[in-house]
Formats: sequence, C-alpha cells, structure tokens
Amino acid sequence: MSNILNLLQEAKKQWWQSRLLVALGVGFGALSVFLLAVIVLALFGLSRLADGNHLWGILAFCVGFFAYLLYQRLGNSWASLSQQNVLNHINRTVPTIAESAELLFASSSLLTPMQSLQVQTIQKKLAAQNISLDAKSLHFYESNGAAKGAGVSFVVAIALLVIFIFIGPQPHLQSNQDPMNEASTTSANQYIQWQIRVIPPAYTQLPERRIAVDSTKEQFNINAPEGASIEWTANAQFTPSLRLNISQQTPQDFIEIDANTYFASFVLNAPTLYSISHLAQLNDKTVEFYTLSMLRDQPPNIEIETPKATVTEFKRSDQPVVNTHVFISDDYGLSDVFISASIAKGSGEAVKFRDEVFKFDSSDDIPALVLEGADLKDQSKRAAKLMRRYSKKWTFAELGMEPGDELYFTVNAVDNRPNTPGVTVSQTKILKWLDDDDIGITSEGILMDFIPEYFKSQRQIIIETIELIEREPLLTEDEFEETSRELAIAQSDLKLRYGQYLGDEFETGVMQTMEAGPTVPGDSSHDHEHEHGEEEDENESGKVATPNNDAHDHGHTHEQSNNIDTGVNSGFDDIIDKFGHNHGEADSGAGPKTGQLNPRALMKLSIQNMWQAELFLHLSEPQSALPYEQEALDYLNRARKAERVYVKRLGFKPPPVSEDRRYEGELDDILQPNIQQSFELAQNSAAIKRRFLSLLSQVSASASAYAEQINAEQMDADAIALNQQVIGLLNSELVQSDKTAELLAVLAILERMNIEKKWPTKDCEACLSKVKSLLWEGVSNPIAQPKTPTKHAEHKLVEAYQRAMLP
Amino acid sequence: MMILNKFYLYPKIEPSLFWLLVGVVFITLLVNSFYVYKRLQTRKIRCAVVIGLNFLMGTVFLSVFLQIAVKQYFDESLHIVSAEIGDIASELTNEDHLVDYPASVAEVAKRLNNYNELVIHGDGFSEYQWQQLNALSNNSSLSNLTITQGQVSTTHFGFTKALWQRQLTIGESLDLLVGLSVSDASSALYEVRFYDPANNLLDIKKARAGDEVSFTTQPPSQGQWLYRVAIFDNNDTNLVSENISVEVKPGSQTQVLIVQSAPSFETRHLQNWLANQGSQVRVVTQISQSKFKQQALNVSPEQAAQWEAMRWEQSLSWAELLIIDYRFLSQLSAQQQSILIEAIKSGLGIYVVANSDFLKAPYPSIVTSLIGAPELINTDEKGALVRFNSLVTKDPIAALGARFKSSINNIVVDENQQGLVNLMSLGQGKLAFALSQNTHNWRISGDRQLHSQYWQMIIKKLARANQDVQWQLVNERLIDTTQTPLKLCADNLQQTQDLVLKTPKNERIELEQFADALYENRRCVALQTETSGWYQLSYFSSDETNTKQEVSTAFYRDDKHSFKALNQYNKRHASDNRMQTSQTNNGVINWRLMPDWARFFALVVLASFLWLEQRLFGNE
Repeated sequence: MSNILNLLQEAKKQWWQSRLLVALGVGFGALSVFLLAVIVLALFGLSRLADGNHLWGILAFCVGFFAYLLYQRLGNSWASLSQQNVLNHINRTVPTIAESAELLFASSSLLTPMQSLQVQTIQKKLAAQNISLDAKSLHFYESNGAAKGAGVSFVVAIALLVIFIFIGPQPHLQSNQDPMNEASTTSANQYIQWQIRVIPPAYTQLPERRIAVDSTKEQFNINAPEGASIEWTANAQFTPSLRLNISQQTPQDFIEIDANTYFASFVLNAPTLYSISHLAQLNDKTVEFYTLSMLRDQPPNIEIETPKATVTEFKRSDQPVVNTHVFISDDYGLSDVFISASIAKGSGEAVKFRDEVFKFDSSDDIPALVLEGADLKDQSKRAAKLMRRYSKKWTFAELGMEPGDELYFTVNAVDNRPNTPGVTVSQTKILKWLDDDDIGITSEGILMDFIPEYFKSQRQIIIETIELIEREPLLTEDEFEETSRELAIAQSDLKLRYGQYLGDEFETGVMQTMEAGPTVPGDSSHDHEHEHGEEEDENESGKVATPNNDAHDHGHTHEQSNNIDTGVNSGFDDIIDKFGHNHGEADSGAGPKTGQLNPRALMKLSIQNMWQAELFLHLSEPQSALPYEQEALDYLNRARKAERVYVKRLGFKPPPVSEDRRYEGELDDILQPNIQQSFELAQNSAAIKRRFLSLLSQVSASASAYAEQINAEQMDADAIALNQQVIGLLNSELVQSDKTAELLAVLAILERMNIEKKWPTKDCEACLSKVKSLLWEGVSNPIAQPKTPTKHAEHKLVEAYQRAMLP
Repeated sequence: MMILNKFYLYPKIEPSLFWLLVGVVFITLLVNSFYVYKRLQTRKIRCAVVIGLNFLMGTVFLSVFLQIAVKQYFDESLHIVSAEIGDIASELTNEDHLVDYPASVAEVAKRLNNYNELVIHGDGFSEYQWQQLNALSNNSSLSNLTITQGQVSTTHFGFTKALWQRQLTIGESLDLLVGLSVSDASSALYEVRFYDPANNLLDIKKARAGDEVSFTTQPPSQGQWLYRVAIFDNNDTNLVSENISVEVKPGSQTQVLIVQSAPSFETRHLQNWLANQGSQVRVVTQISQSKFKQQALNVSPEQAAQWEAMRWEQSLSWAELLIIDYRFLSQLSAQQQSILIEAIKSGLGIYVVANSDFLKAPYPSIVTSLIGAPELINTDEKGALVRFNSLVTKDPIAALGARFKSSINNIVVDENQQGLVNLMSLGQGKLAFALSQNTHNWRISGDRQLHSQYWQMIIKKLARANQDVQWQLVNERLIDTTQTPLKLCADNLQQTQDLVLKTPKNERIELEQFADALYENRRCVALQTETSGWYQLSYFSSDETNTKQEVSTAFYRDDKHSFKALNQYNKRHASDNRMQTSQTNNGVINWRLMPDWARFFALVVLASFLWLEQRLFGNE
C-alpha cells in the first residue's frame, strides 16, 4: 500500500540516479575527447595548448556532465513524471484498485460517504494481496543502459589519461619547474638545452669559453673576466618564455633568435647574482639564484729590485750614479710606464722642489708565467701574463743636483684596460746626496735638529709669557691685561698660520671659538670635510633636523655654517669621504696612539694647545696658558723632527693680516646666543648591518636548537625592509670586496629570503649562520652608548637601618 | 647520672624524694627477701629466682620515677649520593650500609630527622642547595648533624671559575675571567681559546692547571650572543668547551647639563657624542663675565624655549648628570651652592673637571662642603696612561700634576694605580672630580670608541639612577643550568605587570611573580624547565605618555652537562665548608628517651610472675 502511495517519489529518485549516471558517462566522454585532442596536437608539435591543460580537462568534464543534466531536466521525460500519469498507470496495472487510485490520494474530508467506503474496500484488498509496484514498471521510465554507457566512457577516459601521462607532452605538466632544474634532469634536457658563452673583452686576448650545461646546475655559476659578455642560449621544443633576472638590474626577456632558440646576454662589470624564470611563474617563490663572479683586471704590480732601501745616502765626496731596476707585471698588458721624480734643494724655509717625469732607459721581457689554461676561478693562483724588467741609470750631476739635495721618485705603471686603466704607483724611494753638515744627524730620513726659522715664534711667546708672569707684581692691572691680550693675539696669529695648512682655513682674523674650531664662512664645506671625516668613522653620525641659529653668533660660525649647508654630521659622509680630502685621516692613521709620530697629527695637537693658551691669555691668566704654550712647542718640535718630505706640505706663505682685522678686545657686540639642534641616529651602512645582525641573533637564538619544531617564521615589515637594505649594501661592496664568493653566497640567501619573506630556519639551518658570520666580520666595534644606572633594590635590613639613621 | 656512657638517667621527681624512695624500696626488698628465704630455704634455686624477681621489680618500680635517655649509636647514619657516581658506584655497593639516592634536596631533608650523621658520597651540595636543605629540614637537626665525606667522585677537568657580565650595554666590553681546575696529574700547559659567535678565534692564552686567564672583547652589535671558551691540550685536542652567553642591549637617553666658564674641547666632544646617541644635552657656557651662551641639543623648540627661562634649581632637577668645570663651580653663589648640594643629595650625579687651582688650598666653600679638603699627592707626571674598567690606554693623556690618594674610590687611575677620577657619595647622589680634561684627545686621535667607553662608564657610575626594571641573577657566580630550577628576580618590577616567558621552543608561558623575602622592591619568578637555550622574558611597561611598550630581557640556560667542573667545584667547596663547621658540633650528642610504657609493662609482668609463684607454690 505504502509502496503505491510513494511511487511518485520513488520514480523521481530513480530518474535522478539514472540521469546522474548517464551524466557521468557524458562527462568522461567529454574528457576523453579533450585528452584525445591534446595528444593529437602534441604529436603534431602544437604544444602551446598544453599549458595548464589539467584545468581544461576538468572544464571539459564539467561541461559534459552539467550540460547533459540540464538537457534532461528540461526535457519531456521529467515532465511526464506527474502525479496524474502515475495514478493512471496504477489504475491500469492494478485491477484491485478498480480505477479508484485518485481516491487513495485524495483528502478524506473531501470524500463522499460512498467514496470513503470504496477507499476502505480497496485498502483492505490491497492489504490482503500485498501488492507492490516498481517505478521501473512505469511505461515512460527510460532505463536505456545508462550504467553501461557511463562505465565505457570512464574506461576510455582513464585509458586516454594514461596515454597522456606516459606518452603525451611532459613539459606541459612540469611547467612550474625552475628552467635550471629542468636542465638538470635527463628527461627534461630533451626539452631545454642550455649553453652559456663567455666572451672576454678583446684587450685581455683571452679565448672565449663555452659552457654546455649538462647535468649540474653548478654550471650556471659563472666566473668570468671583468667586462666579459655572457650569453645564455636555450634550445627548447616549445616556447619557454624565459626571463633573465640580474640582481639590481632591470629583468630582460629571452629573445627568440631562431626556431626554438632563445637568447639573452649581459656584460659583467661587477660580481652579482642572477636567476632565470618562466614568465608564467613570476609569482613562484622558489627561484634559484646563481652567481656571476668576476675576475678583476688587477692593476700592474711593481717590484723595485734596486735600490732596495727606502733611503739611500751618498757622501758629499761621491759622484753618485744609481742604477734602478724594476720588475713590472700585469695580468693582460701594460700601456705606459714612467718615473715620477722630485728633486729637493735647499733647507728650512728655502726648500724648493722640482718635479720631473722620466722614462726608463730599457726594458726586457721576462718569460711570462702565462695564465692560459690556468684555472680562472682561482684568482689567487692567476699568474701574470706579462712581466718586464725595466732599467734606468741616474747620474746626479746630470740631474743638476748638488750635495745636500735629495731625489724622491716613484715608478708609475698603467695597464692596457681601455677607458679606466689600472694605475699602480710604487713606494717612494729617496736618494740623498748628503752635505757634510748633515752627516751624522740623519737616520732613515728623520732629521733630528731641523728647526726652520718660522717655528721659533712659539718659543718667543713662551719667553714673553714667563716674563709677564715674573713682572706681574710690577705692572698695573691694565698693563698686565693688555700685555696678556697682546700675547693672545700673537698666539692666535701663529695658530691660524699653522691651522691653515692643516685644513683649517680662515678668511678673516675673527676669532673662532675653540669648541667650534676654525671655519671658512665662505667655504664651509671644506671644514665640513674635516669635522665629518671624524664623525663618519664612528658610523654614528646624525644630521641637523631643525636648524635654529642666531645669525649674530659670531663666535660660533662653525655651527651656523654646518646648519646652513649640510648640517652637522650630515648623511653626505660617503660623498665627502670619496671626493673630499679628509683631514681626519692623519689623526686616525698615526698619532700618539700608534707610537709613530705623524707630523700632521702632532701639528694638530700643537694647535689644540695653542687654542687653550690663547684662551687663558685672553682671560689674563698667563700662568694657566704657559703649560699649553709649552706643550704646543713640544708638539711642534716633534713634528719638525719628522721626515723632510713633510716639509713640502707644511711649508707655507703667511697670509697678510692687517691691523684692523685683529681682535680689538671690544665685547659689546657679543650677544648671548641660544642654539637649538636635533640629531637623528644615522642610518649608515654599519648601523644597518648592526640592526640586521641583532635581528639575526634573536631569530637564530630561538631557531638554532629546535629548528625542526619551529615553522619558518615570517619576516615582519621592518625585517624585510632591513633585508633589502642589506642586500643593497652588500651589492655595493661586491665591487671592492676580495671575498666575492662569500658575499655572493650570502646575497643569494638574502635574495631568497627577500622573495619568500621568511627566515630560513627550517630548510637551511646553515644559512643564518653564514649571513651572521659575514656581517659579524664586516662590522667594526661600535661606539658606546650612554646608559643611566638603574636603582637597585635595597636589602630590607639595610633599608631599615637607613630609615633609622635618617633624622 | 651516666651509666656506661650509653644511658643517661635523671629523676622525674625531686632528687631527695627519689633517694628516700630508693631507701624505702631497698629496705622493703630486704625485709621481703628475709621472708622469702624463710619460706623457701629448702628450695634454694626457686628462692634465688624469687628474690631476684623482687629486686628486679623494685628497680623497675624506681625507674618509673626516672627519665631514661639512650645515646644514639654512631652507625645510625644517612648515606646519600649527591652527584653522578660514575666509577665510585662499584665501591659503594661493597659497603655494608644502605646507600640512598635522593632525587632532590627536599627528599634528603625528609630523611634527616632519623639520623645523626650525614655521609655524602659524590660532590655534595652547592651553597644554594645547603641553604635549601637548612630551610627545609628542622634547623636543629641539621646543625646537630655530623657531616662526613664518603666516596669522592671523579674530578672533572675544566673551568672552576667563570665570571663575566651577562648583560652589557652596546659599546661595553665583555670581560671574561676563567680559572682552570687544579689537576694532580701533571703541570701540563694548556691553551685556552676564546671564540666569537661567528666561531672566529679571538684570543689564545697559555695556562697551567689552577691558573686564571682573562679575555676581553667587544660585541659589535646588540642582540643575544654565544661566545665560546675552550681548553685544548698539546695535541690540539679539545678537552672542554663552554658557552659564554651575553645579551647586549641598547643604551638609554641621558639628560646631561654642561655648565662651564669657557668653552673647551673636552665638553665639545662630549656633547657631540651624547647628541649623536640621542641624549638630551643642555650646555651653558660663560662667554664673558655676565654673558652666557646656551645650547639645547635633541629637544623640541618649545622645550628649548622653556630651558632658556629655567632656573638653576629646575635645571638640576631635570639633569641626570651635571658636568661642570672647577672655575664655574668655584664661582657659584651661596644660594646656588646649597641648591646644588641638595640636588646631589637627592640623586644628581656631578662630574667636576678640575684645573690647576684644584691642586692648592684654599679651597672654595662649595668644595669643602662637598668633599672637605681633597687628599692629593703631587706628581711630576703630566701624562697619564689611563685605566678604567678593564681598559688601559696605550698612550698617555695630559693630566694635572697631582693624583688622588684614596685607593678605594678611584674609578679612573693612572699606570701607577693612582687616582685620576675620584668618586664620592653624598646622599643618594654621586660626585667625581677629574684631574684630566683631555679625554677628547682619544677622539681626536681616532680612538672614538675609547672616548665613548670612558664617558659611558662615567655616566653609569655617576648619573641619577632611574626606576627601570632591572633583572638580577640570583648569584652571578653560579652558572644557570637546566639541572636546577630557574629563579629570576627583578628590581622595580610592579606587581601588576604580566610576565611572559618565551622558551627556546617558542612556547609562551605566563609566570606568577612573588615578592622577595629579603629585598624591598624586588619580585621574583621561578619555574622548572629543562630546555637549554635562550629564554626571553617579556613584560609591558608604560612610558610617560602611558603607552604600553613591550620590554624584554633574554637569558641563556646551559644544559646540564655544561660547566661540570665548575659546578663540581662549587659543590665540593660548599660541602667542605659545611663539613668543617659540622666537626665543631661533635660534642653535641643525641639521646633517645626510653618510653615509660615499657617500664610499666615490665612492672606488670614481674608482679604477675611473683603473684603466680605465691598462688601456685605459696603453700609448699
């Protein structure tokens, strides 16, 4: 009975089942057609359709499946599954119902008493006979072998899929791989064959090199001479759409130069990294980086065979003849070799220099340690291609020299590199033709008692200062102060003269504050070079953010000029360091610290003391000024005892100083300046490296021991920005570095981190330590930072005691 | 009353009463014996037994009125193994006493009450463990213990001393002092090598067993770094290698006031350094008798404008460190002097750059008020090689012709250990007089680092202390390993501040803090963790604008195999001290009281025997 009542629902359900089965068959059929098409196209070489074909396959299946279902749902077979048709069918197939099926499905409230009686009778009969109806018995039901059709379609589709996988175009499925990796596998080599050509610049006369990439991706790491052209050629049976990405350069696409042949080239002027990627996978973050190492064109090497000693002396009675022999070698060739000489005559203030250029008398080629066939990768083992022995005979008389004169010469060699040839200047050799007076008082170029006239004024100031101190009781206060100020002016004058030749220049005689140091108001950049040369060394320099100065601050023009121009400790340090003459070098190079007395540093120390002496003389305190005056003289004497070659630099012509420009002692014009400055922490290379190193220390601290338990951590925005800055820095260091290989390896790690935006904790545990090691070695010791102490907790007993003891 | 050196008896009642009782009992026994003898004179053996029982009962009866103590036997001792036993295990099993292997100090403490001797096999306990044992056990029982050394474990070779500062400020030097174990084997020469975190060899020093060597280096960057110190023998074999962990933190902004009677290179270079590091500096320079130049560095224009109107008192309360030249100090008015003294007492630090006037009396009143008459020694040496912290300069700088006498308070000395800068305390503040104003020469001659280190040291020692949270290691001499529970304490930590610990496994644990029992304003955390590596402790701190900022500090826990020799040495040293102390307690004897119920029981039993004998055989 219930079976009859549910016949309609049952029929609809079975209809759906059969149609879904057929739809699957149609879907698989569509997939089969698609796969067949792809295989046929691939066999004919039309492989372009293959890119992303798995998606097309799914699409084909879906289209077939849903199109069939839609068609069936809208068709007649679904519409025929109406209630009336089913009731008619029941009336026809079940005689017991006596054509009264409609009554069974009608609401009981609508039935007449007769109809109700009929329903009861039928129900009893149906119950007694246990009649059941199958939905399949409906005459409009279409079974038509759906399962068989679907099964066949499925089998065909699977078969084609197998054919597709094993016979079809494999590169289509592997298109996400790195093209380099494709080359590294035997099967993939069938599809992209790489060839790399290294063409050295013509002047090197080196043969070109071809690298056929066969099995290892290491071959993509290229080592080539500076200026070499590198060409990558890819042969592929399909269109690979490749792109060459050189670090810090604009990416370039491979050009199709021939059928299935693609080409890209690059001229190597600095070591760098590169990668090759598919255009279709620009977002893929698993690109491999390779190195482009560069063999630099080394400047010529000069070795002076004779004279060996730096200073060679000849007695007055000699007629000196000097034979000079020099070995000069270069890796590719020499374009010019000459001698640059200076002849010094006279002594003290009267010393004169004559500069001349000489050529060597002769040269002989020496059997070269030819580098052909040498391992180009090993720069240290590279032998010189060219080596010559040059000779020159000096006759002092011919040079117009007399006893007491000196000859300083250097050998200059220029190699054959076009545009920017490498130049090497040898160490200076000194040939001295001694005068009798000098014998016994010179030792390796240091003159013991060479005291020119113009240094004696400091001594005079000291004598007068002592005299003033002794006469103090005899003088009136005004006389005492006036004399002291006169001495201060004399001291100032002397200080300015020396300062001028140490990079401290003045336009007028206006006093500078000691703390500001000397400045040239019209040419303040010069002084900046001096001051900032110092600050730059610290790697901590800041810059003025809000200059707010009093224009009348005559006593502090240094600060003003700093603020107006570039700012104190500005960020132009690198440029200044590169192009300016850094007066700070003499200080850092050799001073009292190293024990080797550098006249320049000593002169600076002397001038510092002169500043202090001047201050106390202006304040009418000659007692306090005297120690500084004496110390200044001491440093002057020590500076004077240095080698005479420095006299050339220290020699000077005193600038004219008129009386009206001297300090007059009037204080009325002096104002009370208020200066406000702000400094920002510098973001120079060392600071950036230190910050990154600090980040690395924290990451590696948490990741080193338990790397397997920690997922690779994402880098935050700061870390990413810092990483990019470090990449830029290391790239710029590549040009000058002698550790190119290490730098490139670290750069490859950083570039990868930059793309993946992750710390390499899991997949490359050694990466972090490599980066850390390189940065650690490249960062100098930092300038200490101020730190205020922290209040410590007191022991309770001590605190109680203190409380008890306090009144 | 001692009997056989084993028992100790004393009456519970008045001694005279007791002796009276003894007399009564004795007479009673004699009378009783007489009647027994009369009754059993034919049966001599039974007579003797009954008389004996009577006497025994009398004695037991009397003992009821006595307190009886029994001396503890010497062999009732606790044998414990306190460290890895290694090759002494076989020897211990041959001993005929029970050997205990307690897992913790608490377990030892539980067992102590039943023994009067503690025999320690192995290394013993560290000082901290002894203190724990003392606290956990009954104090009297521990003090009454005789502590003796049992089997000694194998001595580890390595470092028995390792001292360094676990937290540094950037620019500060890492000074490491290590001592090698004393070895009886030979006087072989070893190499002690010091490596940086990038595994570069920094320094090698030769040392024999028992020697101490020191290393100094400077971490180039802030962060958490693991240096390494290792011992190599003649065959270049690495015998021991230990981690030296250090956390380098950035400096802080300091507020410095420079007041001077004339500009000087010294203050100019100092203010350059301070300003470049972000500190706020105010410089007031006298340019004539009544005119001053003012400089405000690293402040907003508004703040600079406020400063111009700032009075002496306000300036001093703003500043953390005052740098003043001697001439200006001498010229201060009486009112300014008293304000300055009060400011120092309330915590201000002051650095006075002395000049030649400082070398001779009479001294201005401010100087005598601050330090009295300075104790100076005149010297002809105008140049001085400067020493501070562990640094020694290679070249001299100019100094005044005198040195401070005191050898205690000199924070900077010359090559003869005579004082160049003398530090004194006044109230909560510190003041220092410097006999050189030429530290800027380091900076001029290229050694800016030395110059900055000098002034960093001066600021650390002099400036007004802030209330920042400062984490303290419980004992710097102890190496924190995973063998012991972790305990950290912090000064100035607020109770409401939530603490989170990040472990080397990247787990985050919230910690409960508790107040330290001994120190005011110190709170501690403790936890049991056995993972070695860097831990990071974070908490939130509110700044002036009430913005919450995460502050973190890192520390390193070595694994339990680290610094074996040092831990062994510390344990043996502490245990030896305890043993020596305990030997003085040998006169103290433990007595065990005999329980009363035993005597009552004996009395009842004896009485029962005598009654039975009377009942059964009384008629014979």
